[in-house]
Amino acid sequence: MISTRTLPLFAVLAIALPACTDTTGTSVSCSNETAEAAIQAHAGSVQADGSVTVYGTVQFSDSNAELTVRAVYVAGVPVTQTSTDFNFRTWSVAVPQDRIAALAAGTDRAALPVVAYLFGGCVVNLPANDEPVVPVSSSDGGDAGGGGVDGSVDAPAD
Amino acid sequence: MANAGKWIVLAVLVAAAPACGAKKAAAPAAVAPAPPPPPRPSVGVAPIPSLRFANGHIVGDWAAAPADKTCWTADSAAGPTAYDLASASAKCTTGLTLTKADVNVDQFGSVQIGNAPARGTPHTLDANGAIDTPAPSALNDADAAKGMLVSDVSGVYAVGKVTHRETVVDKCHNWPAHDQDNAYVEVDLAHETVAFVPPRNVVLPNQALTVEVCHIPGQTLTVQWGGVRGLTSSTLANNEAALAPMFPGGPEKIEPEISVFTFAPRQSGHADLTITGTGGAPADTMTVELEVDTLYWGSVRVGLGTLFDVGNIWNGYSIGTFAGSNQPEIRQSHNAVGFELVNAFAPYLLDLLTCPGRGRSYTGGCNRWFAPYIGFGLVGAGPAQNIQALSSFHFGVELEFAQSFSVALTFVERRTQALADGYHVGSPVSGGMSVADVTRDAWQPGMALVVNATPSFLQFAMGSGSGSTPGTTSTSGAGQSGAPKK
Repeated sequence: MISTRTLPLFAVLAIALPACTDTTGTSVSCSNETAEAAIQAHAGSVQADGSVTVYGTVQFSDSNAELTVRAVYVAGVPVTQTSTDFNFRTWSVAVPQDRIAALAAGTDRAALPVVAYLFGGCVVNLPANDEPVVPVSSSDGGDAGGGGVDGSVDAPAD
Repeated sequence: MANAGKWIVLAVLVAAAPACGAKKAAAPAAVAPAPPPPPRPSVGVAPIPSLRFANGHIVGDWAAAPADKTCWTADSAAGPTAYDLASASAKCTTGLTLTKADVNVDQFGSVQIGNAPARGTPHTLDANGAIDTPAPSALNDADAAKGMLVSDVSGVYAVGKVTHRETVVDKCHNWPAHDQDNAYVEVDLAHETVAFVPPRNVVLPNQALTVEVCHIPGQTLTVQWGGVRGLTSSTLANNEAALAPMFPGGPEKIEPEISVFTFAPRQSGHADLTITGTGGAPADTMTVELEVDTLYWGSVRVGLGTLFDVGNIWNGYSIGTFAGSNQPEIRQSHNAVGFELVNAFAPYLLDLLTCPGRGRSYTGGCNRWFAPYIGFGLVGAGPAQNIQALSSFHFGVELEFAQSFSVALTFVERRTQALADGYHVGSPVSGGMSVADVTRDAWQPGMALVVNATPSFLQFAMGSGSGSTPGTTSTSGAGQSGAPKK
């Protein structure tokens, strides 16, 4: 049985002009925009197929400086917006089990990288220590390439 | 035989006589010279070498006139004709007037009376005024006493009666001064020359015409100026004496007088001036070709403008999605050059202020070439590569290369886009929004070069000058005409 634990993550990314700076340790590649974006992501419940739903938000500290979020990827999977959502302010994505197992790399947990692509070529990588971590059961921990782990992810803590 | 010897001796002596200086003893010569031609019949008066036809009269040199000048009276226009000689019984009859038809001047300058007898044939008039062929026997002292003078001019007998002193029309001078408001034409009718005309024979619109005619006294002048308004004529009555009394010595100088006519302005086009002088001399008609110029005070321009964003501030905006993204976003575009159709007005201020006639001439007159240029963009490419109307305002200066072509350099206020409050480049927008929802109009400065082509119907000519300028027509100007201008 894979337990899922909640890993609240918070990242405040400062994207400053004009240099492609890394002000918070996050890899930022941005040409000419200034914005401060806060990305939150946490893992959701384990689905029946072993996938884990990750929920998240993108917030800008100044609404007047809100940049277009062109896309958000979690573990390489593009997130989707609800029909009423706007600019990835809230998003969710289901990370399949095999992707989680691959990211675990034989360990008992897998950190899911979160990458946001913003207007102007800005790329925001969620810091590694803020990435949602999904525990993988020991019985299946080393079977990253074994075609999926059913129930190996812990349920969200919250 | 002894007698025969005597005659021989006598003959020798006679023949030798000239050699001995016995001139008086010369006998009638057998080779006597030819007798001189019989003198022409004398009429008892001195010939008049300068007898000639002038001003419709037979005139002679005053100095060569007979001593008795009492019969040299002034001519009378109503006097008897040449054929009244027979009735001229008194010595000093009324002056003889010969009409032009009675007098012929041949190619040698000879004056002939009547039907122009052939050169070399001594013809003259008899006392009855008829051609006396061949011998001028009828002319005699009695004729001379009547005032008839006979002269042998180039072998042709001519007869006339000196009725006038020789007259010479003096040069016209003392033309009245000109002002700058009117156009002037100075016509020397006495010498049949045009002394002054407006430049290029062109009269400006709304410009009155003043015609100054120099003519000999006694002429009645008729001046007509054509043009759109029609002909305006003026007839001047002349009440002066035909001629002054005779003066001793030398030709009489006739001081011409200058009559002034003024005309109201004419509309543009042909307006020839015709001056006719009659009375006192053969009619003289002169025509001065005049054109009334067309002046322009401005024109509407239609041009193609090239706009330059010298301040790099002309922006356009659009809404789109980036590749791989479904989130619409605001994008910014910029173009440094724009094109548009410009409609403008170019008032010819320099011409209006500084040119005679207050307008621009395209016929060689005053043309300042430069003019202010005020216009707006009718239709043009917007900064976001769209088409927009009323796209700019232009303020500048144009240089007119030709009547229908000019180039203007202008400052331009171009209608561009600016983002509405709360939006900036890269802001996300919802899918249902358009660029109009996130932008507003913004007028930004720049420069423009406008190439204009102007059709003729968009050029504003000066209005009709008919009656718009106060002036004296030729008719009402009669009071000032005819008076000599000293």
